[in-house]
Amino acid sequence: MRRVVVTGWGAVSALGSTAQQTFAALLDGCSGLRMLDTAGSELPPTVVGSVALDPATVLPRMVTEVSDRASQLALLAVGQAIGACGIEVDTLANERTGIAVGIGMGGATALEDGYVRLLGGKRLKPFTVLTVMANGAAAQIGRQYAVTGPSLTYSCACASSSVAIGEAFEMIRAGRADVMLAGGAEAPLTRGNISAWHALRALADPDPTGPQRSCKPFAADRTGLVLAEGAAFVVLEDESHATARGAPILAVMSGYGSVNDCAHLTQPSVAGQARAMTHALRRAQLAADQIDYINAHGTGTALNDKTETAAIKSVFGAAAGRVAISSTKSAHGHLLGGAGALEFVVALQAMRSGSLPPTLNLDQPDAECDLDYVPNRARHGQRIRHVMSNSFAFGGTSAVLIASAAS
Amino acid sequence: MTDTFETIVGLVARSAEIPIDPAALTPHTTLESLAFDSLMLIELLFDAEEIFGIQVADIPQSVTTLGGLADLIDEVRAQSPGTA
Repeated sequence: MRRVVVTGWGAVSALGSTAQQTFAALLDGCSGLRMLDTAGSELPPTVVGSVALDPATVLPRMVTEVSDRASQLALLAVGQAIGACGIEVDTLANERTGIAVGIGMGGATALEDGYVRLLGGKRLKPFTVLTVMANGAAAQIGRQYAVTGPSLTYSCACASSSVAIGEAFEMIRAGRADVMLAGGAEAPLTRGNISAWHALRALADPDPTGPQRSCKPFAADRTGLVLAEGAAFVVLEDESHATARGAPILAVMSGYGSVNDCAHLTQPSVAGQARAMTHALRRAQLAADQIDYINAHGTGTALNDKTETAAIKSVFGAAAGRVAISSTKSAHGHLLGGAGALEFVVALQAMRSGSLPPTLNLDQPDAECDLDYVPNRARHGQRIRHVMSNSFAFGGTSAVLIASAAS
Repeated sequence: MTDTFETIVGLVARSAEIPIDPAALTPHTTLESLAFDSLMLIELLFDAEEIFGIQVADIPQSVTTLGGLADLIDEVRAQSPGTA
């Protein structure tokens, strides 16, 4: 079976325009969360994680006119990943290169813009169909880099981009591609979507001491998740392909597990989450106690955090108390379909640097959340050989990725 | 309606994938030479319709130049009272 390596990564988030900026901010304990300007709308006070960079300032108009904001953020992240991996862009233009994108809501911004126009008595723009379609990001990436291999889009709510990266890993292992541009994006900060999330009563209350302290994974006083936008991508490569071109091997992609909880539309399941982690460990041929860091799904909702804690305990046994776990959603928010990719890129950077990003706003842990969540302060000088990234979705998809140090 | 052609030139210069000198565009410039595909033409027409407050039902195959496009728009403008 072929080995798969990570040769590049990129990200854009509420914490920064690049993966490096995002990770540096995480280690500094910064939060990218802020109050949404809800003036003139019916929305209650809402905290969000928005991307400061306007993609229109860096992408050509002919791209921005025919793409949703999520696709634009995806293009920025994949561009960084390709730049980092040192590959000649021309060599991507063949059938041995593929694209795997995870996105939960597709062109949500374009769809809502369309309805605003429609209900305001205006005509819809000619490119509405092309900007709304769920595979818009994959299409734009393929067009940009002339990729002629598989172009795939996975939509499994909050597990979408973990599934995309995991399936890309499996495709290279199986010999169906040599290089995969894999990741995800989401741009969910529209009035209608935020309103829908409020209706679900899943969003965090703005913290009275400041919006940046509103997302509190594993804390006793957590009140919900914070919606955020962004994108992250990795370049996955067959190891011999990467070695032959002298590419930087940043990590080895070692495991992936994906299962369906088959329990409840929104309530997470200990059994489902545990099965996904177990499958990923088995695929990686690792024992649970070999995992040094878990980037948790850690949404900051009442149910997720205690369920995920219980699932980690059931898989890790006695080792659960020793593994470092953090939820970086506390700082960059929840990217929904893009979350898994961003958090995987964060975990990879943690492994490369030996520095663990903290879970912010964790002063008083929930009694049922009693593991090491790296509270509030980064931890440096760590020896990290294997990292796990968890993504658990509404609808039941549980997906887990494992990567290992390159040497 | 002398402003039609100038408006089209402005829209073309903004939309084209290749850099275009607006001063080099004439009524005889073909859409093909500007690398305009069907999607770009649809977008250009949409913007022109918004600007002039008109609706063009269809783009005949015979329209292949900027001048032809301007004539088509002028034709519709002439039939749309109050929008010229």
